[in-house]
Amino acid sequence: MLAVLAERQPRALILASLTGWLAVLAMHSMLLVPELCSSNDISAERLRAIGALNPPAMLMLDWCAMLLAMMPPLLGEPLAHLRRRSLARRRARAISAFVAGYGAVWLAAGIILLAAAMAIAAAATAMGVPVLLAVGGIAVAWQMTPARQICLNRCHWLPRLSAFGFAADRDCVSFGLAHGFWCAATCAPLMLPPLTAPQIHLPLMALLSASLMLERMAPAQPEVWSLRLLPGQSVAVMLVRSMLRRHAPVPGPV
Amino acid sequence: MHTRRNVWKLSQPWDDMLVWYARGVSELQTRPITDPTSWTSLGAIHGFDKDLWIAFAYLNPSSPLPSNAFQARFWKQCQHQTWHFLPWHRGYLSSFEAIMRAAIVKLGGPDDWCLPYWNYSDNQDPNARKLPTAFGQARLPDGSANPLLVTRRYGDGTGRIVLTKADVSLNALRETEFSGNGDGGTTGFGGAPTVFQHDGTNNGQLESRPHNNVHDLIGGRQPDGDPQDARIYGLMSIPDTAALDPIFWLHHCNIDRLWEVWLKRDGANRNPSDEQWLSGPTDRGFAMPAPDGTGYDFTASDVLDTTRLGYIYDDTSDPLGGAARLATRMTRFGLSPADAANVKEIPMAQRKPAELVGANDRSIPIGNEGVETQVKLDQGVSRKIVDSLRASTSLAADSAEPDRVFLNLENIRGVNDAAVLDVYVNLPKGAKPEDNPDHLAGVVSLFGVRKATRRDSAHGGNGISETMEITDIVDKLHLNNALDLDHLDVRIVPRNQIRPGDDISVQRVSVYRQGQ
Repeated sequence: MLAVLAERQPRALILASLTGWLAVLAMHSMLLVPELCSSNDISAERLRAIGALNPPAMLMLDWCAMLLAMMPPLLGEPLAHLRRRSLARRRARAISAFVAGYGAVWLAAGIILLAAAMAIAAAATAMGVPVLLAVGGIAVAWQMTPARQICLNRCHWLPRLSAFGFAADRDCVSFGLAHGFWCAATCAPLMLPPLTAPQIHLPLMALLSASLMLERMAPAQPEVWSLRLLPGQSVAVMLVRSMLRRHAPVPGPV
Repeated sequence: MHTRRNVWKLSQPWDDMLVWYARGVSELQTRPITDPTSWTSLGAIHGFDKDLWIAFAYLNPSSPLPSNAFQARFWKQCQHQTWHFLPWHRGYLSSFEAIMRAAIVKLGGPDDWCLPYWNYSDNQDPNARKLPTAFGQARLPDGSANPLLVTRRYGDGTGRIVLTKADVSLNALRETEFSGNGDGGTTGFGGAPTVFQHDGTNNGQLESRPHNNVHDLIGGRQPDGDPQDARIYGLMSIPDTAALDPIFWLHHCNIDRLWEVWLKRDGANRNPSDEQWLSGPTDRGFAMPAPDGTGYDFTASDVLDTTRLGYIYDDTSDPLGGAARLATRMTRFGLSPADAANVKEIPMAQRKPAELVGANDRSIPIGNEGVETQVKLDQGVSRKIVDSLRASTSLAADSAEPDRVFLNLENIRGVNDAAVLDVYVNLPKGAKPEDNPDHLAGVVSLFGVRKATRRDSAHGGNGISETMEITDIVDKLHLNNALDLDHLDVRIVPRNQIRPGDDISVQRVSVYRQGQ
């Protein structure tokens, strides 16, 4: 399975992701996580305290590191499209324009998502519902909806890219904005659990990264309700089944 | 060992082989769809669309279907726009032939029965491009209904099946690489590397022509009716119904034969040695039913040797008489045949990736009148092409091949699976396209475009893309001092009727160079 994953990921994207993970680890040790309650407690107060003790710039840096760790493995298809469909002398520019659009959407999504995480945590705490259960429920419910599949299918969309001049830049930025929008809509609710569970933030991030990467390997699917609890679960099952498959010889003439 | 024979070399219309094929088809058609050896279940291995099958009366709405697990393993497997196209279809044919032979033997037929092939590209036979006679007969010799006759074969819309030499051209045989990259340059003889690809984007050269063209020019669609309604299309025009037409199997038998022809015509032509091809795909396996109804898995490596599968072809001679693509090209630049033969092909693995030279400035809709568009070229990149061409005219014995040039129709979308388009480059002003075959870049069939346009299909709505080599055209323009570094004019001419509701568009028309 690792061979299949490696085959589909250009080295540069793996390196970018590894850099992101190193940054996440560094930021994680720099963020002030208050010991207000027991170490496993996850509550709105705790999240508010994290927000109060860390300057917004630090939180945004942490968010950027998280994006750099998680998103490059999802970008193989659009970046290959940009590379193939751009003049060689414009390739770096095309990819930069795309990344600018894509990153801008995710930065905006980060602000909304952090605020949403706090609000949901406050509401869950007020209702006496464990925060992790609440955000986990939201993530799983979103995961099963046709709406999410619509967003995910749009992530496979590869638009026309003009070859020359302003039109080429415009198309690459638009592609980045559109891809970022559908990507954020697909993934953002699933990022609530890692954001609201500081103590298990890293394991949840790692699990989500692997799941999203597997999921993006599958082609577009019918936009219907389904029992998808984790992204990429069907791809994982398919890969395991494929590895275990018994090869019987093809029969000769009857 | 069984020998698959040319259908047009059998006695017409009713050679015993064809009579028994017809009886076998009838027998398989009596079996329920839950039987893995039934006509319908075998057809569903290629593709399945429940609503369409009901509309076409191949499925009774109240009939039970096989289990979900069975469907997930066996149905909707056909591999298109991928390097798995040839090995998967060979395994499919082999399973079908074994099941058909078992049924024929059970009916009292010959135990050496095997599939005939339809060699529509045989220029020595004036009948070759016609539908084999037995497939148009209303009755079998004994007076019973002929199951080889299918009414949903609309051809040019009137029921007439017209294949031109260009439609069934075997230029694909000139390609020396099995697999291309799908990056704007050659897609290779057999297609670009992919994972399991029930329906993909870039056709390999053999798949594009003659394979796709024959599908669409037989299937066609009715001249009236709503283009959005899939029920007006012929069986062969849609991947989900194609294998229900008995001619499908003779067509694919020929495609399978052409794979053997390609391997034998030049010792340098080789199948991929990549593990991902030989043992792949890793994300979903290939599975077929055996005559006893059990199933088995297979990979490309299991089907490379046809004798292991129990058959050979009666004719795998080279229809191009040994003409090698590169040598033919180099003699064009004045190299002697002996020197031209010494110019070596650079293996794909050592070649640089294809590079975009230029593109048109907007997506273009295609109507019944066709469309013209101008592909603007980047001066710096087109200069590289010209420089490589000039280097070849220096006539050095150690000349390298100049750049190859490819025209791409990117992300073709629409609902008309049966559309066939002729694509011309730099037609003289006011010239009739049909009078200028030297400017014909290719014949493009939109087989599978309807599904490829749906956003919830495996294509993600990206449509299909077509790559045509225009090296010969560019060479001639260069040699006639008529190659314009600034732009190329492309004209797309529909071969059959296009209606407004077809919604056919090409997102971008582009030109790529492939250097050494």
